[in-house]
Amino acid sequence: MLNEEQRKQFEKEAIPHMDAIYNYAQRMCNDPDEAEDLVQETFLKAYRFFDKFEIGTNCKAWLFRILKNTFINKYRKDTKEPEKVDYGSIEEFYELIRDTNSNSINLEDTIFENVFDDEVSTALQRLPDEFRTVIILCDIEGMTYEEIAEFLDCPIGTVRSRLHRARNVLATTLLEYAKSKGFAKDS
Amino acid sequence: MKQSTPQMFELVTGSIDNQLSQSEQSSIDAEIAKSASLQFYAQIERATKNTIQSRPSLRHSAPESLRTSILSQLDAIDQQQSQQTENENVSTSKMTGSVFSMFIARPYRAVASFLLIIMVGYGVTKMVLPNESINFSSDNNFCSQSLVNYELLNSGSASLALKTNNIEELRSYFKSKNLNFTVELPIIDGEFQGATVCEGSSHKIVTVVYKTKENKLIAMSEMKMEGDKTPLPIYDDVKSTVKQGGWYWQKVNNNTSFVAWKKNDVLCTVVSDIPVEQLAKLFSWEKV
Repeated sequence: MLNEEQRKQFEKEAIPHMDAIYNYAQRMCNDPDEAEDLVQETFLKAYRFFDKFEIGTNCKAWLFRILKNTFINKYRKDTKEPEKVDYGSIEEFYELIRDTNSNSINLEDTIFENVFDDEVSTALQRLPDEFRTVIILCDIEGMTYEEIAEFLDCPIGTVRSRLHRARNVLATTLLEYAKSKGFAKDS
Repeated sequence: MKQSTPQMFELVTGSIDNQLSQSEQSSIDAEIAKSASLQFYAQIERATKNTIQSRPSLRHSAPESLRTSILSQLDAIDQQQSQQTENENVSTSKMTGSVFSMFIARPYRAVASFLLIIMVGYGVTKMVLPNESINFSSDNNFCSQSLVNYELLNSGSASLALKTNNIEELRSYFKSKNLNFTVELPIIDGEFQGATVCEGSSHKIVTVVYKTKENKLIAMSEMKMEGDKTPLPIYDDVKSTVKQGGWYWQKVNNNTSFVAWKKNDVLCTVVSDIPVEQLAKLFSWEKV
């Protein structure tokens, strides 16, 4: 049971993470209404469990774990299916790396500059769930590998490996967009 | 010159995210310095990461209406719990300390919490407990069936009418059987692993299995009593305990706990390999 003090604590610790939770829910559901339902359920569940939360520990990670359980419980049907990853794209990416002249452009600053926001968003959305998850948690939410591993219940090495592959797929898609704008050249 | 391995590329990823140990970082820094492909790869990957990080449009903000709605619902929960506390002050004096103290200290909330579990059953609002005439000496009773069901599930040898990890399939199953049944997941800090329905000639039991963070299982069983010709009986001591609104707890062996309780006319059970004190912590408490 939460008293007034705990309510204040909840609003201080948990509520500020609502945008992050909503963003992840929206990215996973790809539907604003479903995302809202998921976030609502997550926060109500978190509130009921708040007396189990240890103040001073990572509230954001705790909320993400509740969100994950809620998401799985609601949308479990397809989660047992192994993700289909376009490994062809990864191979193409390495081909691209081998064949491109790295001195020709300042890649880091400019290569994806002309890619539109909605194209980046689409590329992110097209990633398999397991790849999209690590990208969101690492690059948007700024979680450490340890936090992500805890969230995914997997070794840190798996997190790193997934991030590596996810960025390869993402980079390949973004390079395609860049090429279509005539910015990056075919080898 | 040594060829760059996939492991090295993965270390580049760790390096970009600043997530390597000092020795790993030194090692990959040395490799990057020697390898044009690693340098190029690092640039591409950093550009990809920067692109994601630098686009505010990739961050969806929670709508204000959602924020308001959640805060309102928190108010409603507070209000309910405040009323609940008043009721508890009256009732807790009747309770005694036991291994079930965590439940007993907050009986209404406990009952309310498990009401959600109760709803994982057939036509729960219409179920009734077996009456006095039932033969309690039967081995095939509700309690033992719960335990047997739990063991069968754990060993993977349950004879099942349905096994699913999807709540919608479970709902569809009951619908296909023309059963007036509401499936609601209990509020539990665990992951829904699946539900099974075992059908016998005179009874049906639904078992819901959750996995907690510690990879332990909880099985919850429910059965339809209404309309059953020979419903499964329950033990005398269980019956007398739950009839008085109490909780029956039995340590089956070192690894298994059995819990039974009653809400109105519905008997519910939990079988778990989690000690009951810890089990209590996995459930939230709310007013009916």
